Amino acid sequence: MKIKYVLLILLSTILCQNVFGRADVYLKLSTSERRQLELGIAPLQAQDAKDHPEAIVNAQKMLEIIGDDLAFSLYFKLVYPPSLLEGYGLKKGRLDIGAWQMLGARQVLIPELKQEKKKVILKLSVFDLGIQRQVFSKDFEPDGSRAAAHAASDLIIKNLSGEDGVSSTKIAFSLKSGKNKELMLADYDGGGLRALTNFNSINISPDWQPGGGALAFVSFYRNRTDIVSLNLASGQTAIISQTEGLNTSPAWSPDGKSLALTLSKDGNAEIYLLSPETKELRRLTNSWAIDCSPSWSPNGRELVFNSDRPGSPQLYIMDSEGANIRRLTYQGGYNTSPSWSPRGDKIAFVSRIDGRFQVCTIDITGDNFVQLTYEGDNEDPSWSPDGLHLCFSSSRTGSHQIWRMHWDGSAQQAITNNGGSYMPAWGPVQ
Amino acid sequence: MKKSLLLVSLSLAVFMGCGMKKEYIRVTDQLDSIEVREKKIDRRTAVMDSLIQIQMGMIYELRAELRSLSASAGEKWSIAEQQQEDNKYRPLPIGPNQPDPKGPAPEPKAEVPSETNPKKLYDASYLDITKGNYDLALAGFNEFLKRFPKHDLADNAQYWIGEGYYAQKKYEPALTEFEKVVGNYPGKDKEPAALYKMGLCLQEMGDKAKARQYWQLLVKKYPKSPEAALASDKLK
Repeated sequence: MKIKYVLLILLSTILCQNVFGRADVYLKLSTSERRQLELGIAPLQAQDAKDHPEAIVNAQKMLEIIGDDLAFSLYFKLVYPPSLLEGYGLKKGRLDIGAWQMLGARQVLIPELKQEKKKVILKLSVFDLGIQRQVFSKDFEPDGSRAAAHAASDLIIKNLSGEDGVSSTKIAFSLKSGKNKELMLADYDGGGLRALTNFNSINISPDWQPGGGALAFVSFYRNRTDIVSLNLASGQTAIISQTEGLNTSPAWSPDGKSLALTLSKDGNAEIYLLSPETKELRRLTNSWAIDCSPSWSPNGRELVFNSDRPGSPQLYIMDSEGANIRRLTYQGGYNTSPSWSPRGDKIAFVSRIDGRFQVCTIDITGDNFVQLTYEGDNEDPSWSPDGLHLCFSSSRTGSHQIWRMHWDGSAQQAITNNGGSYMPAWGPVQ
Repeated sequence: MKKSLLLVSLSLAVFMGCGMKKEYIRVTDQLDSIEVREKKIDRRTAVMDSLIQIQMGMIYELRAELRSLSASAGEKWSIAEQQQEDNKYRPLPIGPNQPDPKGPAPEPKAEVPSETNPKKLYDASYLDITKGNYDLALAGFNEFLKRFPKHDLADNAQYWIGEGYYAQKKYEPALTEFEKVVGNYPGKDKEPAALYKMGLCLQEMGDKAKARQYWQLLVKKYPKSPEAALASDKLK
């Protein structure tokens, strides 16, 4: 009895420290700091599906993808049971709440394979350890498909965080094949790779139309530069811009009503605004310098672009009437390929540092120039629709591959393994 | 590791043909004893695992007891409170630019502490412009002008107030605010853009003649500005 009371006092001291310590940490957190939900991932319960080994394999495959998605989303810190203890986290087939709390989990994802009539279903539910009730439950077909796994991840993210996940988003990019470059499409993690064009020509600079139904890109298939639109559902193409001279760097406005682009029809490269519907073309820049690579602010009122008017390529911002032009970058002698974050606050771009190209970010106020990559040449950054991640092309492993990373440069990983991959464009949530 | 080292030394011994049988017996004995020790460790790990399980069970019981004791001492552990605590940890504010976890304020009002950093207030208001939070942006820039009317960025703040209305297609108040840039900050760097935008506002309001007057003034006053080139296009 005495021992019990000593233990009780000891434990209450620990718990009090834990409670107050946690509150203290919470108070120190500012809104700009990252907070993640500690989500336990319970082992798959498959007693019901013992006669369906294929369903078990498929479910495991899907759970692996879901785990990767949730970890990459930045909304969760995943908590797995220690491998030493088999069956950990379950007590007589039910969730062992205390065991998961000991691991630091606040919610637990419980995957179960269940036999319903003649069908096996994968039930994913999330149990909140704090309020001690189920907060999410949904049945999925354990077909092992990547698309179903990504869709499940986004559903979980939406239900637990209220935010749109990017697990089902796609990345379009240009892949070198001999003398040509064709457009490719992959899942945001590199899975499900497929060719979009087979024009036997150079096709580059893809840009997603808002909504994700079509891509605008630069094509040399007529031995000149045209801006072409490709409908992803029908595969049909249409020429959007074919003015005399260069037609490059297309960028759809957030409302999808106009396309910013670079044309050289008046002598040198200038930025224009084209309304594909009315065919109205409006010139935004007018200088002796090369102005190109426009990227829209999320409200569709401003554009960041590239100009060599100071003598070297630098980033500038103007409004969508072409007025109020001001220089954004002063650090470094070569800054190109701007991409405005969907969150509005940062611009990713490429800066030449020590003779190599590196992906950097800068605040829209011109403060906080941050270098995110360090190895090889790293180019063409493109933001994820939630503004939490970037994809880019990198030569660090010898040939150019498409890579992805978090907004602060952490968790950099290649998502392609064919060399000659360039100019990725991260598609919208659909 | 130890095992492989022993095996290498054993092979060497055999290869060199010295010592031999006694040494061989000694080394195999050592290997046997290592194996026995490994088995013991495995057993001990298994015992420790089950001990951990038991101890954890005890801890949960004690925690439950502690909860009931705390409750009796007047502390509330209601589910609602627990939920409130949990909500604090939901990962809504995340990444480089965070939405307010409480959501947008119903009545936009720039809450400014007494010792406000003018640059921070200006930057936050500009960020609201780019994100399309125009009401918040207008409140922020108005607060900036109220507090720092002589600041270097005052003409810029006045320009962004005009832009905040213009972006919402509210051309009349936008015109009024752009006029203030020209009237209150003549010769400052936002004047050409403000003159151009005044013309655009008037064009949208249907007064093309007056719009042309402003663009003509812009071309005359700031002929080398980028806005003068845009105005020249409009005057063609």
